[in-house]
Amino acid sequence: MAATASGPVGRPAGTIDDAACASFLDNLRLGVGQAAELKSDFTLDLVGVDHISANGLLTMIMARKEAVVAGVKIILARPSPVIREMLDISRYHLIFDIVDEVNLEGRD
Amino acid sequence: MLVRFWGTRGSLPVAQRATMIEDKVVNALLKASGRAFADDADARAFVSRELSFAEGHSYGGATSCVEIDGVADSFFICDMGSGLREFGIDAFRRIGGGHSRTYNFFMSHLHWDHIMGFPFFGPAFDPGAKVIIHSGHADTEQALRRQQEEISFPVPFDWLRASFEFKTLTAGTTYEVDGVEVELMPQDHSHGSFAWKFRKDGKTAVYSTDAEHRLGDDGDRIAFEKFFAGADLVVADTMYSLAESITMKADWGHSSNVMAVNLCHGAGAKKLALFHHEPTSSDLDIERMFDETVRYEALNRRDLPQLDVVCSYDGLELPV
Repeated sequence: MAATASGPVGRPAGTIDDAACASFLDNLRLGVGQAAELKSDFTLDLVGVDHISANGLLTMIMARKEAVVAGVKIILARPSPVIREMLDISRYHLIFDIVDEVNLEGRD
Repeated sequence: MLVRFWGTRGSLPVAQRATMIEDKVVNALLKASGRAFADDADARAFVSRELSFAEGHSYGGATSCVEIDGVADSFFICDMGSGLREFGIDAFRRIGGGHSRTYNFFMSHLHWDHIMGFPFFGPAFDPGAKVIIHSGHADTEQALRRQQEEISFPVPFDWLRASFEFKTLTAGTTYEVDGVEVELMPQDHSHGSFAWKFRKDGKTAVYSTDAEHRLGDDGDRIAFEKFFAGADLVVADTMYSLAESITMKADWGHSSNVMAVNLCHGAGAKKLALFHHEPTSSDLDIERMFDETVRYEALNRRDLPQLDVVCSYDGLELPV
């Protein structure tokens, strides 16, 4: 499944562990806020993430709740096979759009 | 300590429909095509080794009832779900062998699926039986009496022949019950629920069902990690997926496999038993959830000690 990013793109990297969750949420809120202003989606490019804790997964849902209120869709893009497994086990495909490829042309 | 699962299903008892049994038999026959079995043991070995648990068995459909055996002279039982009926029958067998006729119950809460086995609990009619019901709820006796009232059941509570004692326990206090250290802890659930912890001879088992862990509630996480700390076994509510428990089924009072693994990892618990299975789940659904939980544990573990994950089923006995 592929998508074209139509708004801001977040690019977390490395490990999103419990200690990183607060700043992770801050950045997600920033991206959701920008997307709301642009009336666009917010793409979270996960290609650089090698591990995410359960609290990190929960943090994404916290951001999603706020995104729903703001009328923003969060797209989870390019998760590694391991991160994809964690998302699938958590049934995140029921509440997020998850894409394996994303066209980031013109977005940096 | 031996933890024996008499009922593992959540919310509502379920039974196998005829077509479900037929599907299992057909699948087993196809997998055994061309094979000959010398005897019963040979056939059982095939079921055990070459069929998955869900293909060759069933997780069962009785609601919550878990026995903590081998810790005291008396019986220790968590909850009175429909699995209690089978426990009662087995208790008579053991009493015939000289077992004590004292029953210590520990109630998570009083919802229907956790008390519906009580009207069919045979030892309640034994005039020599002593039934002590420990609960964090002060209205436990009211719940059991109401369930026996004529509008719901033909045998009123006062017709029961055993002696009954209701004890309301307080969270944060360690009690000694028949030589076993017992603690309880409040959980987030409609009308409240309680987790129970049992310690004996250096072994610890925790029973934590019907507990919701809410998004962003660090206080809840810290409290549960403390209560589960170092436990040899945690029996945990894993009714939903993480996404379901936090979004579509938020406020329904239940938890997920991912949250249970996370809390057990944080607590340094040794073994997690998946429990309170969703009633709409087939055996194959539960088996897939179990496989995914084992995989998730490996992915989430990193440098932590391995958490052994087992999937409870009606009839499972787990040495602790």
